[in-house]
Amino acid sequence: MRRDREVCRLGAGAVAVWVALAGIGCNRSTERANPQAAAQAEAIVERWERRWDELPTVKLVAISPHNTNIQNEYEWAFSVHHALKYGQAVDIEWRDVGGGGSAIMTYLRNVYAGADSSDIDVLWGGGEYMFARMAKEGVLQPMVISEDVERNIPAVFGGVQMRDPDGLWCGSAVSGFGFLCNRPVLGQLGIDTPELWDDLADPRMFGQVCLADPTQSGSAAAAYEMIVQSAPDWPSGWAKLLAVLSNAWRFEGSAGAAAKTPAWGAAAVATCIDFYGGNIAAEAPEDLIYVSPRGQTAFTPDPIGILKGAPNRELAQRFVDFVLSTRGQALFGLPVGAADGPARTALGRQPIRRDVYEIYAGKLSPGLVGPYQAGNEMALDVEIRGVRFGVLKQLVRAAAIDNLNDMRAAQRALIDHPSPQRLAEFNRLPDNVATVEGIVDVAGKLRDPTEAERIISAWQEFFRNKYRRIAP
Amino acid sequence: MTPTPTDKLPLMPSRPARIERWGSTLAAALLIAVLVMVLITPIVRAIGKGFLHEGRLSLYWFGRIIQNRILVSEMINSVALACATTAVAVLVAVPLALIRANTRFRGQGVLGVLILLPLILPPFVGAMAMSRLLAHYGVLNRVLAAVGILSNPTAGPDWLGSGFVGVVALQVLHLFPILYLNASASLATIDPAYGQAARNLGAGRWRTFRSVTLPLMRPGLFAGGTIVFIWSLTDIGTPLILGCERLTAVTIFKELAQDQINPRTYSLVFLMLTGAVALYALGKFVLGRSTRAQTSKATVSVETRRLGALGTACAWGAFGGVIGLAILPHIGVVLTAVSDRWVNTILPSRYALTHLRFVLVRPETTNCILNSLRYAGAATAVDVVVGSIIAWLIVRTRARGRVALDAMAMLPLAVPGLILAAGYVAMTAKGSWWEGIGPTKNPFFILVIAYSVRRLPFVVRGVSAGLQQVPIAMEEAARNLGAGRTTTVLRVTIPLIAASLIAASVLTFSFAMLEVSDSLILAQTEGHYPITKEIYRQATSGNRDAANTAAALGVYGMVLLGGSMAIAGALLGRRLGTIFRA
Repeated sequence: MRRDREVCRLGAGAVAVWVALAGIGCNRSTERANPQAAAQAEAIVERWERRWDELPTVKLVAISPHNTNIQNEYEWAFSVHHALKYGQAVDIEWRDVGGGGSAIMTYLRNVYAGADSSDIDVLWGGGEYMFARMAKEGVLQPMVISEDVERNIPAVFGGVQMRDPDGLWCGSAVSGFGFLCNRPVLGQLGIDTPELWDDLADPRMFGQVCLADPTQSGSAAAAYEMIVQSAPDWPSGWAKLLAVLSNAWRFEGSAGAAAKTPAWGAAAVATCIDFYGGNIAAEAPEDLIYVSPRGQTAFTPDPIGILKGAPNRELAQRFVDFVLSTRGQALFGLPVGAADGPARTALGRQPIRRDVYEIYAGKLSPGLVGPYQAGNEMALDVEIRGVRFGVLKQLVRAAAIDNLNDMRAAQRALIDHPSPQRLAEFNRLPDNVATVEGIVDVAGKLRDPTEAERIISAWQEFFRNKYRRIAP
Repeated sequence: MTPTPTDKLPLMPSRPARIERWGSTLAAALLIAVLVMVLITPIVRAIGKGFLHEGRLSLYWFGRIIQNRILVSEMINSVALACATTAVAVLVAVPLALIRANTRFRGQGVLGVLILLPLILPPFVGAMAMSRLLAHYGVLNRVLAAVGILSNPTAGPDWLGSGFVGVVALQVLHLFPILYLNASASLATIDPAYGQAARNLGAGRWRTFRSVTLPLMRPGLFAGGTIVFIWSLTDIGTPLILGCERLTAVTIFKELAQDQINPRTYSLVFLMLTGAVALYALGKFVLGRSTRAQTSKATVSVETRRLGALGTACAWGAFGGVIGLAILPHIGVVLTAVSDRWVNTILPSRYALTHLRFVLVRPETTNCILNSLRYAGAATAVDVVVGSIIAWLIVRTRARGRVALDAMAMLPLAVPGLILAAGYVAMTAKGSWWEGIGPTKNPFFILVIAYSVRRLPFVVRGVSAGLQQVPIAMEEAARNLGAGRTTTVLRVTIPLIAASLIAASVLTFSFAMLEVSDSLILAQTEGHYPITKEIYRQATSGNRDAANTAAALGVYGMVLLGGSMAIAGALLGRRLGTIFRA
């Protein structure tokens, strides 16, 4: 009996807490603080003689790996802009298929395999590699890119394509890569805060670096290419990358997951995208620091495009125009409260338009690295990058991720008993990718699933055997 | 070996018996057809490419898997992990269930509820909390340094690198309630008269347990054990936290996350599915044979021992120890939700209620919670009805196809959620028959189907165990006394298996509420998100307070799930106590 009463009491308590929480949720749900709302609402009434909520609403469907803050800010700003200009409010439906760029790409491929439309208008965010692939597979349709936009967004910057020559996609923001460090932990380990990729290859970093799997994270794949290109040639670039990889504590599934590890104390250093690093470091700026390796990071675009069979083609074009306008670009980089800035959350991302850095000079969020400022960017050999991109990520997976324990044992053995011969053996590449010509050949073969499986399985064996010879 | 009351059936079936057999065969055929539609078809749609090579039907990819040393060693690791986790979970759960069933002590009710806490741990944020606790420079090593065991926090071991042993420990802490609930339900269905008879004949406690109780509770242990075994075999969350990645399920998960999926991955999925079903069949052959119960629990009332101070302390020690470890991630989630700064310290160095408040003020939160309740509630209802019918057909009839039905009902445990969800996306694509229930329209039906299919084994196994322990003689007596089949089921069978049914429903509901992979892919628009997807979206948002906001949602989820289960307990009230003899 007493037990039944206990259960009843527990149940009643839980109901009370739940109802209270739900009640608070309902009561406050209508509160939406927005300092710019009143002025903009007035402007709409003045222009259309109707309140915003009385205007007809049109719907835009977008799919995007961008975070909710970006989605909310752009939905709000575009809706107001559209209401003022066209007398219609916009409701953006954000599709989320459970993942980042890869998940979206798989989803769109599945859908377009059996249909001409995905019922989605806009694809936004996910890296230029993904957009190039989607464009090639015919999933995107050409957009109109104004002369003003073309003037302010370079076609190529630092060797990286910023917009598609046929107008199938256009960069909307840029990201750089670097690393997030836990300074007190590095101090306790007696290691200086790293400043360049080369510092991550230091043997003292053994087991301290959290990296991301390049086959799952496009940004990690791009970062590894930058490490390779920061060396004079392919063999020395690979050796440098392998030295970083063999210091890995672990390879996380996404660059975002890797970025959190220094804050939790799981690793002393993690490689990450600049705005992830900046956001996480903001929790404890005295302990955590994001480092952009000067002159060793390329800036890559975060594109936008219109999908084939978009149900609202015209509205999609208007959204693209808005995102690429100076006002739309300013949302990315301005702090909360600034004119043209976000309503609730600073997004902390670098706009892609050059002129935005001049128009809003001194007003952009502190900590944003100006990509067009001299000395910040590295010039990538985009041709080699294009060919090597697919090969390098599979090679990294076979060498480091599928053989993590063996690789670490070999690296440990090399640290404890340095030997030039064994180091040369450690750095030796499989014959078929030892030269750039070989890479071109393998890149073609990797497109065929049978060949790809054979080649990658052989690489796995190659690296496993090699590591076991170094650390039997 | 499907346990059947063959000795009850005449050699030459009478006409009504033949009709009954045809009736049950027809029911089994119908259910198989439904499962083919909602389980086999999406799997085939998703993994069919694994049987194609250069445009032709081929076993080429299977050959490649067998030749790959890494993949083969991963399969061996996976089976070893599942065996170890199941064995340790039995060792943890069975003594606790025995203490609960046979003794009385102060606080038993509260401990009985708290022991189920692992069932309400939300995904992602629970893993984050464990990562923070076990990190190389994390909370545990900082505690050890603070009490002087370590010279400084960096001198400690990397617990997240503890590999196999760590995975077994965390899986056991997460999964033992499945065995505990099944064992409790099983103990509640055993007639105490057997134990009393054994004791009267001079058998000691241990011998009575070994020779009488354990064999009688075997169906329940088998039910819980198979679920834990296959869960552990196909788990990805725990191995990923601990970096123990050389396991088949983890490899499949990673392969499926690629932008171009090699057909070999689909063959690997097929091998994992068939392997899981084969291991289940083997387990059933070796362990799961019926004990052919001949009496019910109703013959004598249970005698429980009231524990003295020492006994109570021991019972508290046993329950408290397990609860104390199992509750650590929950504490981590709550602390993350209320922390504003938690870097390089044991506890947060700055607290804030802003995350909890932010989550509460968003209408999306209330919405996703209501969605979760809707989906999980509907899925549980479907599973209880369909699962019970399947269990009845498997245990109580000689319907043709019942072996296939049995195997198909276990298959969902081994199917990766990503595969099933990908299959549903393909089936509901634009222009298909099923478009209307696809994720781009209103995903309610497809999500309820997905949740129901994934959690069906909980009910089928739980109810099967209950039916195996309840003697058919009771139902036969009711039929002899003139009760129709429906009356017999409603008035005799269901009350007798109530404990198993409730245990299965609790597990189904809670694991449906926490379902991840289907939710991530099939709920695509904000208005339809369940809470797990909202947690995932917040956790991976890249916002500064991503972990805190997700944890705040997790707290809300825990309150909701715990509250729902407590309400169910309160509503059932004394009957629950009687059913579980608690």
